[in-house]
Amino acid sequence: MSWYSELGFKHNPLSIRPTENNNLIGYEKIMQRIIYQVKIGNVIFLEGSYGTGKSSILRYIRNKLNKDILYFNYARQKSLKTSIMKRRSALQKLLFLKPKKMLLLIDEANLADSKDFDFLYEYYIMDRVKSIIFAGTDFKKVPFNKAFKADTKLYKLNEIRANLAIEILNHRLPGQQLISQVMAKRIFQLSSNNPRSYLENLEDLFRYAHHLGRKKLTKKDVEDFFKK
Amino acid sequence: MSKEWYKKKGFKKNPLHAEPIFGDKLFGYDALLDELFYRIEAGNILFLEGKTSKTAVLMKLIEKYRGEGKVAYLNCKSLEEEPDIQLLLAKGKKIKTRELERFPRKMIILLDNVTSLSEKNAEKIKFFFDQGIILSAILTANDYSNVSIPGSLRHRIGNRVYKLRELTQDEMIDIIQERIDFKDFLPEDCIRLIAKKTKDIKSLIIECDSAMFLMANEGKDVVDENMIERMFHEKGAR
Repeated sequence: MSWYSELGFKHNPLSIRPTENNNLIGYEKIMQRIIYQVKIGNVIFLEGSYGTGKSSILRYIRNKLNKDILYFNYARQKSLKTSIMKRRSALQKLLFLKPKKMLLLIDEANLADSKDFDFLYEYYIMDRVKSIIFAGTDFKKVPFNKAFKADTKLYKLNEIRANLAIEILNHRLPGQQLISQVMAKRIFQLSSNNPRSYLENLEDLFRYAHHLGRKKLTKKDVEDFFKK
Repeated sequence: MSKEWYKKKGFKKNPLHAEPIFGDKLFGYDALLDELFYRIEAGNILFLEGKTSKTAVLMKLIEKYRGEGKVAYLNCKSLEEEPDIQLLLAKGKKIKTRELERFPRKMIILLDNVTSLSEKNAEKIKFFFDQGIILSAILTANDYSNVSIPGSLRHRIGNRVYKLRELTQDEMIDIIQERIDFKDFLPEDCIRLIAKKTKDIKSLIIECDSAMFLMANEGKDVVDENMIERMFHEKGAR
């Protein structure tokens, strides 16, 4: 029997697979600001290393804002322009009209083609696109044109407070007794303050404790585990 | 007929086939298999590295989880171009969902002998994993550090990299004996002698098969040490 079945879960509650809202824990304030900026019309860049929740934020916005939204991922899809044209309403397509006030969510922006930024900026200025949220690992390396770069608001997702560690743990495993709050913070630290690595390590620690038949993990257990 | 030595010895198929197939017994990897069963069911992206037995381990996973729309296996070594993960998943669609453009849920993807993975395919694995279409993905190669995989996927693999330990000589001999049903036409001493002259289980199987071929060619019933020495001597001369 796996550790999570014993705790009454059908699936692994510490899976790195993003769930609807779990990965947004700790981002409540930033989310409020982003949604406000999107509603008034702005260009935003979400910068964060792997596993910091960029795609989860985009997914959340896509579900939250019931608008004319296009999600585009540079690593998976070919042409941004074609995707935008396909996303137009039936009437716009029938009358060969360009889109209007669309919201663009652009993932893996670091892989973007520099040519796309010229027409994107034009669409933005002409109000064909109301707001754009880019997500990528490095703002400086995205081939923006000058005007676009100046208009873009940068949000960094790397600086996450350690309290997030406790919130994530409580959200995924409410009422758990195995890991204390202090310990959760320490595990988060040892996971380079990265939410995904933290989840991975938590899963392994719960499994480790289950294997040892422990009800509570000590500081020494955690340190030993990381040494291994 | 010498090539079909196994028919004379009462086998329908060559028990000393080099490529692993369904039903082969796997020795020495019980703990690893248990670990992989857990990781798959808990939903993880893993990497399996090692010089031999990777495919045999994957075959065991297929045996456990097989069924329509459950497991997709692909040996990348035999492909000239990198496969499209989306097409691979589409092949797993159940007949009734095939026309609805719906992918099966909770599929297990096994990519064997991966040398490189494009940004696009890595992104597809991540996307389908996040959507719950892929329950777990296992990639294999000789050496994880030599495989070209985008950083984003490497981050998802994290520390879930498993190194296949090399089998001991006794374990390799057990595998051969088990395969030939403990029959005495290939004595243990001879297998041990071949094992000393080979580097891993795959080459041991191949050389044992060659010894059996030679035995049949010479019209004998049992392999002897003299035959093995001659076989390796001739190979060395070539």
